[in-house]
Amino acid sequence: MSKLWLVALDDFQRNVFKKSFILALLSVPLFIGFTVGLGAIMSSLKKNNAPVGYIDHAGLLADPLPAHVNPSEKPIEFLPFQTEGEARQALESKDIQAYYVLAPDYYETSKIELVYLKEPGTNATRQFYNFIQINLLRDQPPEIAKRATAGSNVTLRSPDGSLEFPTGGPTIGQIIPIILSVAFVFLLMMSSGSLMSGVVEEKQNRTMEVLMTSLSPTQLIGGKVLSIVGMSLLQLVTWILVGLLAVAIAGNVLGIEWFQNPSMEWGTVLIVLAIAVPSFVLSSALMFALGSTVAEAQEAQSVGALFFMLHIIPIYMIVALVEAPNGILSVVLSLLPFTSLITVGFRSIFSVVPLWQVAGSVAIQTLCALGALWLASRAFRLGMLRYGQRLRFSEILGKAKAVSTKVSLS
Amino acid sequence: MSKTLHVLRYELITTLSRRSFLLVSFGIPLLIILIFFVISIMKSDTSSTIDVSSNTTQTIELEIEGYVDQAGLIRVIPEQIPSDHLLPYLDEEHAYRALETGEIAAFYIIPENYVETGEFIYVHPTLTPSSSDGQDWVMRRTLLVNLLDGDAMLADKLWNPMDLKVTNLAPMPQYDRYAEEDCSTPGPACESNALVQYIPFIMAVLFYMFITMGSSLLIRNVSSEKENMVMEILMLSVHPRQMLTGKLVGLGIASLLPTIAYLGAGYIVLRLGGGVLNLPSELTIPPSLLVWGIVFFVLGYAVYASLMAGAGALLPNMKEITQATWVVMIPLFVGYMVALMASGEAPHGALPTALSLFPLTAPIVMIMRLTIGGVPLWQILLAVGLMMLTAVFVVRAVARMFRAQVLLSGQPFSARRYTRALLFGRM
Repeated sequence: MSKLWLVALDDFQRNVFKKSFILALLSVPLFIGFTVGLGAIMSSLKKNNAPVGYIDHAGLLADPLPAHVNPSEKPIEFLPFQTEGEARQALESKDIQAYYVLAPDYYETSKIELVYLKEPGTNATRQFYNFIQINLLRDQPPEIAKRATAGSNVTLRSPDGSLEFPTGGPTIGQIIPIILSVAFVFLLMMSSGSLMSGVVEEKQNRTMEVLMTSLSPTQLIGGKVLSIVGMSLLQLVTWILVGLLAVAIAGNVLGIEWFQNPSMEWGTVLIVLAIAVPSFVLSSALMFALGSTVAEAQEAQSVGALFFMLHIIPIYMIVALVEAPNGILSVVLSLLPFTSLITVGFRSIFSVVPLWQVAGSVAIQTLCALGALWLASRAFRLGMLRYGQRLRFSEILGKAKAVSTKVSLS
Repeated sequence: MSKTLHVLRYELITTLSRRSFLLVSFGIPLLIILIFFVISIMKSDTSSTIDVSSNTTQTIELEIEGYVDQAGLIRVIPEQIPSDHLLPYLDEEHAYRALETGEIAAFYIIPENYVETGEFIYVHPTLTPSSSDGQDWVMRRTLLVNLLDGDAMLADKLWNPMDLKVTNLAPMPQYDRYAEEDCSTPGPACESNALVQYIPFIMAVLFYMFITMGSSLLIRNVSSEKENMVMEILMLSVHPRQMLTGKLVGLGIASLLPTIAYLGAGYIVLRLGGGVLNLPSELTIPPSLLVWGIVFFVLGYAVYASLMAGAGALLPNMKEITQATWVVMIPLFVGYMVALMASGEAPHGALPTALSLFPLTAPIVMIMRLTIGGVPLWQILLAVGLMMLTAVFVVRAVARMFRAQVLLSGQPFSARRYTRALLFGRM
């Protein structure tokens, strides 16, 4: 086996079975699961299935029709009271969570009073709203009453038909590009520790000298990079599999409509991947270069956050991007290194990113990635046997200049 | 005692003399104040111009739009919509042509099965989901009136069936979704100003950042001294408990200073930059928030920094810092997430209230609730009392862990070993 593969295999095996790697591997799915779970708990805490009372001075609810209830909700019992005193007593004894009073002139003024001791559940108030609406339409045919109370769903469409956007929010297929972009950025952040301390560890425990007697710098750096790429791919594949499993469970088992029949825009996914790969290589190479310049692992780890911050700049400008997906800011951020990935991911939800911008972005990321790779190998060669002293970037560039001058002179 | 003071002084001076620490802790707040100061001066110079422009009243005019009614439903146009503002087209082709020539700004397609599905399409050249230039309410209204055979009065009634008056009979009403607009304190009740709404959210983020950064100093400090063998030399002349106390207090003071700087900067910005940020004039941030903020930060720091120091004592090297930090910080992170989610909707709900009393989540969740206001005094005092008890317990437990045999050992870190050491004093 080539020495390069030996380095890659050893590094991969050494890192992939560490608790910290397994923790990193599971952290994103766990974080998403935790956030969704917490949101579900908080949402369920806002619901209350206790009965709701009403006093009808207007005669609207004399012989009431029941409210339309969402199949996932429990119907709330609406209890009529003759007087406010009775309703108040029931409220204080917690037999009802709240009560409504319909004014005698309700038909003219729509006046209704809501009385409670503790904020009533969102499900209860929603069902009472529908209870009023459905009884206003008691003379209408059922299908008309149902449509009039349920309202309309609007789908926004661009004139060329290339984009459709339901007003209820984007479909799962539409947000896959941005999920993919964010996943790559997280992947980069997770790998930053390994990238930044790629050779720092060997330098700290002084195995670098031993390695250098039997390996060329290219074999060592190549093996390390291959191992990190392997670990990143393992993470990405795990996240995708967990994501697919979550979508399948949510759509088929829990019956959540949004997750059912997820259709994917393959063209957009390919665009994101075309930008993500050189972006990932660019940041990885720069992190590796930075890792070669520092003396201690601790110092190296703190720089990883900087790259993460650079990538998430578009998130801070999300309002501007959503308002003007084809504006000048969006175009500039789509072309710039680091910001391109998330920007294009966001823009593809709301608009079609012109092909020239995609091609320009891929070209810029690729050129920068090649430059960063060159810089990384230069930094590694200069810094591999230097201890306790920082390698300055000016030195890397200076040396490079000196070497190139020498070559041109000879 | 003098050795404790030595450690304290050393840690304080070393941390405060780091340029990066000074820049992040004091440079950024100072810069923020300066920026707002300059902007507020510039704004006061140009206030007359702004006043003039603000006096011009904006009238929202309806755009001329078209529709293709494949369902054959639309027979009347509601009175609210000028009849020449909603033009019928035979089919999509005609509508597209009108859109291209600029005759209409957008058009709607009402499919045949509208009554069953309720879905219609809005074709708009510049519309994005968040933009406010869409006027799809025009078609919603038109469809409703036509569904009801042109009965505009019934449609009006259905459009807005409740002119609600709310009576909250609670002895001490707290914020809920029926609360009236109130911009005198930060929080979700100030619907007209997004920044005022987000102040509790920002406070939760800041306190999470302060406590995490402050306590991280401890774990890095202890584990780096273990790794570079300085610990072995220190153990010759300083008792482990003296070292823990010195580090805890020294780095605590160092972390408190940026906290005060950021909170002070925030307070000054809200006072000074009120005009720049378009803050409502009635907005007041009670000075007691600053006092409670410092109390909750100090107690939160005491708990988490001690826990981190304990984790640092068990770490054989610095590579495992991330894993150990996660284990220790999970409760604070849970509190942080709940505070973020609850700050906009139900800041005094059952879960945020419970977590604002629980000592490991209180420093974040209680600060979020205190920023909004309306927290009963007994809850604040109970949270402070419980946090003080927890801080005493944790500091004592970690002091037990700070023994030479632990500090000098090289066993790998595990959450189980850490919990056992913390709760039962067994390594």
